[in-house]
Amino acid sequence: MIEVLDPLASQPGVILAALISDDGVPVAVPGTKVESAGSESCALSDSDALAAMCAGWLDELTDCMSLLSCDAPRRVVLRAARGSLLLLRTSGAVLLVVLEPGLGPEELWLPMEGVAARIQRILRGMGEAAVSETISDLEPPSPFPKRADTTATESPTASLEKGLSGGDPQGN
Amino acid sequence: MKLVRRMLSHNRLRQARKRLMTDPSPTAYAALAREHAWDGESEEALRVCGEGLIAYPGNPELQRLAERTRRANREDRLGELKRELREAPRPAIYSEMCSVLLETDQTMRAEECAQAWLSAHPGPEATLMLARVFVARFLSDRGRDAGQRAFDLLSECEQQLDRDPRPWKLRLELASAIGAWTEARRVASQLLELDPGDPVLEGRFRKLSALQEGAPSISKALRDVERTGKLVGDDQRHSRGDSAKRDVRPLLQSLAAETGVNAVVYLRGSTGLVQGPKGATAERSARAMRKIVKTGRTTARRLGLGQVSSISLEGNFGSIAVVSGEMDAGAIWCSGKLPRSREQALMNLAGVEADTDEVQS
Repeated sequence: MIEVLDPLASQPGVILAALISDDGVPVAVPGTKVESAGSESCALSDSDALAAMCAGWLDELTDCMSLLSCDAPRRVVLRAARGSLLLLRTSGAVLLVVLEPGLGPEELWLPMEGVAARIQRILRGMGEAAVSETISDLEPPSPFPKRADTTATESPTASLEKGLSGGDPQGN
Repeated sequence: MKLVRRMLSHNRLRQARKRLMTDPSPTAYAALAREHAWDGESEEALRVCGEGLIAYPGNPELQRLAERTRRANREDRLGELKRELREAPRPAIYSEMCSVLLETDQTMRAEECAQAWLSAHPGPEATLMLARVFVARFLSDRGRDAGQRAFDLLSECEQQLDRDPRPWKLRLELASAIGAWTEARRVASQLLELDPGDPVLEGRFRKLSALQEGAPSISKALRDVERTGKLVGDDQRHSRGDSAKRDVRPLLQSLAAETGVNAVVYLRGSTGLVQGPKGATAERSARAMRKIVKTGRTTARRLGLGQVSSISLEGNFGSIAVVSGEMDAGAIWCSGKLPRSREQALMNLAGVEADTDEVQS
């Protein structure tokens, strides 16, 4: 995941890029402007705290939107004196970027959407692999051993079968 | 070239002076001050502004001009200080630079400068300056971390600067601002030990003694300030400026009349003025917007991002933009993307400290 977030973190003005999964696990990549975030006591240095705060805020925003009979917001921007917080909600994860003050989020939406799409592809691939594994695990065991593919590498079972069908191996 | 410019400016100055003599209006004062400023005579420009403000107290044009001149002076001085710091860094230059940066509300740069001073010449004065920076940062951002750091640095200073009242005074100011009355009383008694019989301090000590019952500890008071975003006395300070209030309703109505706008909300205190939805829907809209502002401010403080200027949300519902002032906020809900013109109008809405006596939903 870090390789996916790296291009986003290396954008000019990005203090931090992170991905927060649904179960609150953060994957954070510091940007090139870490020192601009202020003092060492800044919550931005603790990715767990950051993930918890942002996830909590998104939940609160969802509650607010339910008052207006609306769905949860997909994009959220918070502009403040010491920087901006950008959140992009995708299915199963939230992409988070902290920008240094004075920079607008407009230029960053396109790379963020790109990263979100890439993450979705990765998650889909992982999901498909997990599903196929689960299906094979759920299949009941056959009473007979499966016929192996003879075109593939020669297995001991295949050579045994060949020996049985071929009659006397010594030519009698 | 200089001579020609000087002659031309001299002529313009003379004409501006004559105009002021015949018509002593704020515009004429401002014109003369501007001529002086263009000529590089900032002190003279400030003097003219001051004279104009005596004749026309509170004139916004003259006030703005005076402020701009002062800012330009500070910027010039900052440039000189930076050069001196590069050539021969010494504590006096660091100290002045931090003070100028704090005056101009550039707390981040002031913090960097104070840190540089502390690492180059460690000592109590540098620590005290860093504490001042953190106090200023806490008072503007209201984040718990900055407040706690300020208290820690002040404790260091008190140990290093024996019998110096400056860190104690700063601690008293900070403890009083957050409502930690027990701590404030302790500091006041300490200051009375240093300066026995001071009538102002004695009066303050008596007042703090009356307040200290059930007062929160420092950490609880800091947590409360971070949660609510309010310091002690904020309400009184803002209710004092009621004379400047203006009616915000026409602006709300003009915004709500545009196509694609679902709701426009103005929030101040516990009051919300809503244009667009009616009845219970209006009430829910105001509640939702207030919660967005409140939770956004709290999150920004906790993350150390400082004061929130705007929040925007986009989704299937369209877009919601909230612009937050110090005590008030304006919000707009549009179907589709928010055009730049509406964002500008919203910027005018927040920070106007509008009159909300007449509540309407």
